[in-house]
Amino acid sequence: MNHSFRLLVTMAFVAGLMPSEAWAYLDPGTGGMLLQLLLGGVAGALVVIKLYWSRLREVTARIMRGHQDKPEDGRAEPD
Amino acid sequence: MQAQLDPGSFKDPEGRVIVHRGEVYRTLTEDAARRMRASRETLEALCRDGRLIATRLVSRDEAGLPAGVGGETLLHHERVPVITYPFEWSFDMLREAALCTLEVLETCLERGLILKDASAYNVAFHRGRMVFIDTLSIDAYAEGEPWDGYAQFCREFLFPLMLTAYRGVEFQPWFRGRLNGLALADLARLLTWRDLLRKGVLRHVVLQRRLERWFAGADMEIRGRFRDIRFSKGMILANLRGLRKVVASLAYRAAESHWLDYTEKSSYSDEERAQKADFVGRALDRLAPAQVVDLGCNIGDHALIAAGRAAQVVAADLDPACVNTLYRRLGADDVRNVTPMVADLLNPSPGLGWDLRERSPLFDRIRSDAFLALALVHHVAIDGNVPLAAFLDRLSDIAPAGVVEWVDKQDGMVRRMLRNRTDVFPDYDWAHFERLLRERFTLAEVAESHQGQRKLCLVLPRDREPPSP
Repeated sequence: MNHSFRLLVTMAFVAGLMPSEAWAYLDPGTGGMLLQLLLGGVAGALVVIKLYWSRLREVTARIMRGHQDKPEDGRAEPD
Repeated sequence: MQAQLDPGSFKDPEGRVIVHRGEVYRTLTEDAARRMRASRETLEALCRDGRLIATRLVSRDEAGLPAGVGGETLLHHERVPVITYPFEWSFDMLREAALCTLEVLETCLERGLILKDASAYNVAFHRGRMVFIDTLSIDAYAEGEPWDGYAQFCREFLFPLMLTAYRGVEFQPWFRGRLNGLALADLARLLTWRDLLRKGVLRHVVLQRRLERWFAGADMEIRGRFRDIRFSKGMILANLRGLRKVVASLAYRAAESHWLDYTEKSSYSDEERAQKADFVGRALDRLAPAQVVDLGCNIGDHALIAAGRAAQVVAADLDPACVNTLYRRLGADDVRNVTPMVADLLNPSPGLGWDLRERSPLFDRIRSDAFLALALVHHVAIDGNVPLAAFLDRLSDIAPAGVVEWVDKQDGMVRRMLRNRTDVFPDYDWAHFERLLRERFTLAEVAESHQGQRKLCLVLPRDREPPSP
């Protein structure tokens, strides 16, 4: 099992810890872009991990804030 | 004559496909023309390998285009006589199209170029193989750029192939429903835990899906990061080689096919089968059609007879497994003038996409000089409850002449169809069928088999007296 494959498995595992609801518009190419970045050697993987980290902070902050700034119709973000 | 704009070619602002005096051209913006001239060697190499449809640069004078159409330079493409769409291909056809795309992309990358997109519609079945047709997709590659077509390649090639290879579900209806392949989220839901260990699933489905979900709604700039990490074409090539391995390893897993062993199962004795083939051969000799369409071709026995007598044959069947077998036969026998396609007369491909004109309806693409409709009438009329008159109207719209086989109610196959359902077909008999035939065609010859329960009918256009044999 090579290095990059081990990294993939780890990432996929860690992914399971993320909240899995999609809140908003989903660009159908984003996953593919990030995957290429992730496969782009150690530097690429580090960038994705960094992005992931800031995303995790953002999501955690949102959860900590609770639903106080959620509009009445239940949507967290405008479409 | 007016130059006709292809209604499906609007997506790329750099050029449109036009048909002028029966020739196919692609208009080019000045930038695109410059790029195509610079890529001439690559285009020639791809044409030589048979991976790109025969393409050359021509001037507008040479093309003789009317004023106001196209720029000074255009691309001229060899014409594909019968266009079929990915949702009409069999598994092996889509897989070869995927490999063709990867091969073209690899050749491009080695020469400092790339493909802007990776749509399955950029490939066509032509002269027995899959060829790349969207020359304008070839673009200059700048180091530090990702491959923009990756996600599209997954949706339009990899995922439909995985659906069939891993789940045993034919991809065609899914592809047609969405028009542009299979969405990542859908495939991720369709695969099971067991599939996680299969080739390509963890990386291209699970991980890609995870990334897509993590960052859904995140407003972030990703493109620049590729430059930051000095992303290179070597990384794209590594991804391509991985994809090629996955695609090449995917094997067709047929859903249950009722028709694949039809030749063995069918009620024909060897002698009757030979007589039928002989009748079809003689009929086609007499009709001398340029293009034949075989409706309900099964694994193509009669389409192959037609292939020896017509310049072009379209062989359509609703069963993807049969079409896949035919495609393999064509490859093995090196037959290049038969276009196999998955098509259902009871549910033909309609106009699809933008304005319903992006992808054209089946019948606009398969009209021919002669049809073969052998052992078909009972499936349409009894399985599909289509009135016999409507069936014959449809045939006469597809081609003015041909061979249609009558299958009587006493025939074993029809009896089986009616065994457990109410017979609501009082008009399904030869006398009625013959009258309807004569209203639309000239009935030139009838040959009976199965003690008269089946009748092969050679029909000619009604307004023409049958030529003497």
